Amino acid sequence: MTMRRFYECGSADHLISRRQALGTLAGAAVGGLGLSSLMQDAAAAEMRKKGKQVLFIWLDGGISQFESWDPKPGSPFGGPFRTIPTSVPGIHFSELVPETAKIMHKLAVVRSMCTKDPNHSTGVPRMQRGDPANRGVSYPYLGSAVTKLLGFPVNGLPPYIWIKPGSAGFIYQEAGFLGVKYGALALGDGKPPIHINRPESVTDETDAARNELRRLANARFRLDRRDSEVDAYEQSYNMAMQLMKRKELFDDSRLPAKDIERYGTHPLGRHLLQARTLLEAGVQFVKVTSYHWDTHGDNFNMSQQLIPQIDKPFAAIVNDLEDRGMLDNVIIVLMSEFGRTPTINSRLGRDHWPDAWSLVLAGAGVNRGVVVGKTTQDGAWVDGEAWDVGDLFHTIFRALGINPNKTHYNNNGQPLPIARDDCFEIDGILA
Amino acid sequence: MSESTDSLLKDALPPVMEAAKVHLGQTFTHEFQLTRARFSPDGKLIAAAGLDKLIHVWELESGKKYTLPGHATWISALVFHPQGKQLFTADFHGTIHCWDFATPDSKPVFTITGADANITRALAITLDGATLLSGGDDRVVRLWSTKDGAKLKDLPGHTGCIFSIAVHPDGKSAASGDLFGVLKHWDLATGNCVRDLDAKALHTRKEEFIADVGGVRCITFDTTGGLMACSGLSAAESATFCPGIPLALVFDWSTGKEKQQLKLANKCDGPINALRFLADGTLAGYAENQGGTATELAFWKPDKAEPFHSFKGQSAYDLDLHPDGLRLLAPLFVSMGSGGNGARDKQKAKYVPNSSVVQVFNLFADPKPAGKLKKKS
Amino acid sequence: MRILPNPVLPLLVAVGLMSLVVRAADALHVEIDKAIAAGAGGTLSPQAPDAEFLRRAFLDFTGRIPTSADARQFLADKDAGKRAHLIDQLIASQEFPERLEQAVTVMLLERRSGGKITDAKWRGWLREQFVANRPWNEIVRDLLAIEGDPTATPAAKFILNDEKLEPEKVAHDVARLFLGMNLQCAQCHDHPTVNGFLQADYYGIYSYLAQTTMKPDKATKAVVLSEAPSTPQIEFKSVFKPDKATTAPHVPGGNEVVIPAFAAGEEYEVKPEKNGSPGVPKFRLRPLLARDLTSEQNHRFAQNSVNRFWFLLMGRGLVHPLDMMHKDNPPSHPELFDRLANEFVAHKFDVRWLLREIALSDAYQRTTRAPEGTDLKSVKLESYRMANLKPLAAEQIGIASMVATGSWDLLAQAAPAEGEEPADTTATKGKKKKAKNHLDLGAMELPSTREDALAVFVRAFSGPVGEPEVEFAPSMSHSLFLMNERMVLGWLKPKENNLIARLAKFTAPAEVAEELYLSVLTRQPEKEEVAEVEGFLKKNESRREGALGELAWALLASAEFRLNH
Repeated sequence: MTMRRFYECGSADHLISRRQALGTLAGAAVGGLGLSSLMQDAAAAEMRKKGKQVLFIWLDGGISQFESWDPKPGSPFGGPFRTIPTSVPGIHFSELVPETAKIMHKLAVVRSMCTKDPNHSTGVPRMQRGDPANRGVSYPYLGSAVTKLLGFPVNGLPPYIWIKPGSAGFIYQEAGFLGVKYGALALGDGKPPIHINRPESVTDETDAARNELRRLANARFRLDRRDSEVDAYEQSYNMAMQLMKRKELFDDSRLPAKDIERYGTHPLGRHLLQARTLLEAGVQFVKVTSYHWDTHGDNFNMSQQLIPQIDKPFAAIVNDLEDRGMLDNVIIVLMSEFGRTPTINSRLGRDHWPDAWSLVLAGAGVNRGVVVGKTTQDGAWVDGEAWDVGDLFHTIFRALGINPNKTHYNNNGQPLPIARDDCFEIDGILA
Repeated sequence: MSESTDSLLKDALPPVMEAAKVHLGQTFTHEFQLTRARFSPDGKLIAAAGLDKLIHVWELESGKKYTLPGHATWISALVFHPQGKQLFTADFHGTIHCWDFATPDSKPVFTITGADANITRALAITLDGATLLSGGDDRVVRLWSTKDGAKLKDLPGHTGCIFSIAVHPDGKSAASGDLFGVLKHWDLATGNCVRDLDAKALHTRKEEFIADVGGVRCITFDTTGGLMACSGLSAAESATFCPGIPLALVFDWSTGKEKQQLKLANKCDGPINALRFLADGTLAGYAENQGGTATELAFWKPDKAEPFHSFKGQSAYDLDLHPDGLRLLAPLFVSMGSGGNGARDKQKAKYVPNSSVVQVFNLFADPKPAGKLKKKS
Repeated sequence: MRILPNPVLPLLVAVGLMSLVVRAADALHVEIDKAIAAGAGGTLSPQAPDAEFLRRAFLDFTGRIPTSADARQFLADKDAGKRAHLIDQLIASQEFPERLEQAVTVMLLERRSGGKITDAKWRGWLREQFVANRPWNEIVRDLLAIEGDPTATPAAKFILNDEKLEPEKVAHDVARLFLGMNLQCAQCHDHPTVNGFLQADYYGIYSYLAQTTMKPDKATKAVVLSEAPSTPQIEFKSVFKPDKATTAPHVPGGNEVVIPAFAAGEEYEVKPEKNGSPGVPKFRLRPLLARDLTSEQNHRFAQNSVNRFWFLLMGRGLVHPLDMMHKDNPPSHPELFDRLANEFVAHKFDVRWLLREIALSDAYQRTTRAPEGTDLKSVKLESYRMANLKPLAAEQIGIASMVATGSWDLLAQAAPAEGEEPADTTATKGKKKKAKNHLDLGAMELPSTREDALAVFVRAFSGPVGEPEVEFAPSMSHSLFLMNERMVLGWLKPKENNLIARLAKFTAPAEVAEELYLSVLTRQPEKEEVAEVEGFLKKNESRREGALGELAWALLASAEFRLNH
C-alpha cells in the first residue's frame, strides 16, 4: 500500500486557508455555516439500526511494543522481560501481559504500524483524526466522526463519552468542522457530571413545566436569528435531562465486587469497568484515556508497573463484552500515538518510535486470533508491508459497515473524505 | 603497555590517594550497554555485565578479555566472593549463577533458578564469603550458601521491590533498600529486622503518577561501619521521563538518623546509581543523566552537601573501588548516535544499540598529565 | 417580535453623519460603518431596539446586566443621544475596569492559576491599569519587563507558570496573544502550511527569554527572575532540514538585536555572589523584548491589539481565528483593520478610546436579528450584517444571574482584600476550594458572599485551563448546573426584596410579566409572553411562589439569557 510521507503537523492550530478565514471553523461552532450533513443519510439510518458501538482505548504517550505486543527477547533491543505464549500457538507476548495473552484468540494485533509523526503534540491529534490530508479544515476526532457517521443514537444518551483522568467538560474541539454538538462529553475520573441529581424541591411536574417554558422562550428567541447557538444550547439541556434519567450508569455501588477486582481499582481499571457499563447502556462511542505512558526514563521499571494496568482490565472487558453477546457489535481499538525506540537511552528509557509499533483490535467485523505484519528480528523496523493510521481509519469504518470510498462529509458543499483517500483497510483484519 | 598506570603502581611507591586529582585511567570499550562492573578481590580483573547477557572479564594488566556465557536476560547484579575464585551474577529472570570466573567460557559452578520470583535486582556477600544475599521483586531478602546455592533463610518484610543490599563491615548486619525508600537493617544471625531506616526521600509518587519512581539504588558502608550512605533519585517530577534530583543520604549507623543529604554539583536528572567510601572517608558517587548529557563523578566529605570535587563524565550505572583504594571503576553510557525520537529510513544501517565503556578512574595525581595512560582493549 | 427593515434608519444615519461634517477626517466609528457597509454583500439589519442595546452595552462594559430599574430608566429616556451617553456612563463607572480586567485576565492567563502571586493580586493590579487607562502597550511592557522578585510585582503572573519561567511557553504565548501568531509547531520547523510562521520567528522571540530563569537570591532569601549574560545568536534546527540556523533576538518583522560583546568578567553590572544575588548582567534581553514587542513601530502588535479588542465587542476578530494573522488569512476588512491599528497607535494605545469608538458605531449597535426573508445560512459572520451572538463569560453568567434574581443585593460582599492579600495564597485557594467543595461534594453550606457565589459559577462555566475562550461551547454540565444547583434554585425563592419577592407582590399578570422580563432579560415582554405568564400563573394558583420561580428559571435558563445578543 502506498505510504504517504507528508509532513503535516495536523494540529488544530495548523488550519489556514481562505475557507477558514471565511469562518468555516468559527462558523461550525457558532454560526449556521459548517454544520455538515452526510451525503448518504440513508446509510446512516441503516447503521443506526445495527447498533454498532466503539470502545477506543488510548494509552497516551506511547506504550512500548517491546514490553507488550511485540516482544523481542533475542534482540539487543529486547529488554529484560520474557515472552510468554498466548492462546494462539506461535504467537507470543511479553510476560507483562499475561491476561491478554490468554485471549489472543479473540484479538487482532497489528505489529506493522509505521507512522511518521514522532511528536506528542502533533501526533496525538493526528492519530485520533486519522491523519487527514490538509483540506483547510479541522478534521474531527474518531469519536466525533463516528457520531456523525452513525448518527445520534435513538436512546438519547450522549453519543460520545470520554472517560479520562483529570477534569471533566464538554470537549467541542474534537468535533472540528462537524460542529460543536459532535464533541466529546468528558467525565473526569469517570465521575458523573456534577448536578446529575435533581434536588427534591423540584418535582417531575415542575421540572417538566419549567423546561417547557424554557423551550418556548428559545423558540421565540430563535426567530430571525442564527439558530446554531440556540440548537447547541437546547441540545445541552436535552442531553442533560436524558443523562439524569440514567443516573444508575454512574453508580459504583451497583458493581459486583468481583468485577471491581477483575478490572482493578487503579484509574484505568475503574474507567474500563465504567466503559463497560456505558457500552451496555448503549452509549455509541466510549473513549478511555490513560496518560503517562511516555517512558523516556526508567522504561523497564515503569513498564513493569504500567503494563499490568492495561493488561488486566483490557482482558476483562473483552471477555465481559463477549459474555454479554456484545463483541460482535462493539469494535475495540487499543493504541497509542506511536511505540517506543529499540535503542535504550542513558536513563534506561525508550524514546518515541513511530517507525514500527503495534496496536490491538477486536470485536465487530474484526478477525480473531490474527497477527497482521511483523517487525524485523531485532524489532526495529517493519518487515514487509507497513500500515499507517489512515489505513487504520479505513479499517475501523469498514468494520462499522461504512464504506469510506462511498461516504463523504459535506462541509457546506465541500465534499471531504472520511478517511484518507490514498489509504486502504489493513489486510487481514476485516472478517 | 610500558607506561601503564598498573606498572607505575607496581614498580614505584604507591601514589598518594587524592580524590581531587582524579583523572582517567584505563578504558575498556564494549559494543553493548553494560550496567555493572566490579574489580576482583585481588585487583587483577574487572568483571562487567549488563544488557547483552554475557559476563565480560578483562585482565587489567594485559588487557586480555574473555567472557562467561552468562544469562538469558539482562544481568542486574554482580559480586565477587571476597576470598575465593567465585563470581556471582543475578538477572531479571531470578537466576543466580556462581562462576569460576578465572576460566573463560566456563559453565556455572551452580545455579539458583527462580530466586526472588522473577527478578533479582541486588546481590551482596558476607565478608567471610559464606553467605550470598539476594533481593528483588518479590520483596524478600534471601540468604544462600555460596558453597552450593542452598537456601538458608528468607527475610520478608519489605513492601516494595528490593533494589540494593549491603553487608555491614562487622559482618553481623546487612541493610536492604526498596522502591519506597525503606531501608531495613537485618541481623544476619537471627534473620530479624532490627529496624527500618527512612530513605523515603528516594521515592516519589505524586498524585498524578500512575507508577512509583525511585528506589534505594545503592547502599554502602564506610570502612568502620559508622556511616551508611544510600542513594537514588528524589523529587521525581514525572513517572515518564522520571527527572528528579540525584540524591545521596548519609546516616549515622548507630543512631539510624540521617545526617546529611548530598547533591551533585551540576545539573543532572537521574538517580545516583552507586556510591563508594574511600579510605580517607570521602564518599564518591555517580549518577545517570538524560539525553546522553554528561554528568559527574562526585566526591563529597560526608558532612557537606556539595561535592568538594567533580569530574565530568558520561552517565554511570555502577561504581566500585579497587582493593588498593586508588582506583574507581564505572560502566559508562556511550551514545551510538541513534538517539532521540523516531528515525528516517535512510539511517537504518546506522541504527545500532548504544554501547559503553568500563572506565577506570585513577584517584591520584596524573604522573604524565600531557600523555594518555589509557589502555584500550 | 419580527424586525422589519427600518425606513427611518438611513435618515438617522444621514443626520448623524452631517453632525460630524465639521471634523476634518471621519471619526473612527464612521469609518467602521463605511467599511462594513461596503463589504456587507446584502441588507444590513437595523439598529438593535433600545432594550437589546442596553443589555449588550451593560454586559460588554460592566460585565453585568442592568437591573429592572436601570432598564426602565433607559427605555423611558427620550434623549436622542442617550446611547452615546450610556456608553460614556458605563466607561466612567467603577465596573468598567473590572469588566476589562476579567476579560483580559481570561485572555492572558487562560484560567491557569497557582504560584505565589495570588489571583487577587494579579486582578487588583490589572484593574488598576484599566482604572488609570494606562496605554495598552505599556501594560504589556510591564508584563514582560519585570526583574527581581516576581512576587513583588503581580504583573509577573503572566510570564510565570506557577513558580517557573518556561521560556518556550512564554515565547509561544507572546506570539499568540500579542502578535496573532500561533507558533506552536514552529519550535521544530517552519509551519508546513502557513507561509508567514517561521521557526526563525519563534526563536527570534525565544532568544529574548532564553537567559531568564528563576534563581535563589541567597542574600534576600527570595527567588528572583535572573538573567544570564546573553549569547549573540541562538541556534536552532528544523527537524526537516539538515543544517542548523541561527538568529539573534528579534520580533517577527523587526530588526535583530545586536548584543554587545563584553570582556570576560565585565558582563555584570552586579556580580553574582555565592551567598548573595545571582547577579545582574549589564546587557539584558528581556526588557528589550518588552520594548521591541510593544513599540509603535511594531505594526503587528498594534494590529493584534485592535483585533482582540474588536473581538471583545463584536464577537469575532477582523482576523479570525485570533491567532492566525498571516497573509493567507487576511482580515475581513483590510483597510478598516489598518485604520484601526494606525489610529490606536496615534491615540497612544488608548483602550477606552478604542472601545468607545467601536461602541459608537452602527455596526456595534446593530440588532442580532436578520430582516424578514433573509436566508440566514447565506449570511457570513464577518459581514456584520447582523450583530454576532456572543457567549457570556463565566463571570458574566454568574453576575448576571445574581443581578437578575436580585440575590446580588442580598449576598454580602467579602471584606475588601483585593490587592491587599497576605503573602500566602490560602485566601484565594480557600475560595477556590470552597467553590470546588461546594460543587463536588454538594456541600450543605451555600455560598453567602458574592465572591463565593461567583467562584461557584466560574468553576462551573469556565473553559479548560490553557484554552482560549472564544467560541460558544455549551456543555451538558452547564445545563445540569442551572437545573439542579441548589444555590441557583434557592435564589428563585422569595426573600426580602429579591426578584421573586417583588413579583409575588404584584397581582396583575401584566405587571408580573413586565417586572420579570425587565429584570431577567432587560426588555418588555411581548403580548404572547404576557399571555403565557398569565396562563401559567392561573394554572398554578395554589402555588404561586413556586410558579413564579419556574417562570423566572425558564428565562434564566434560556438562550436569550445565556447569550450576549
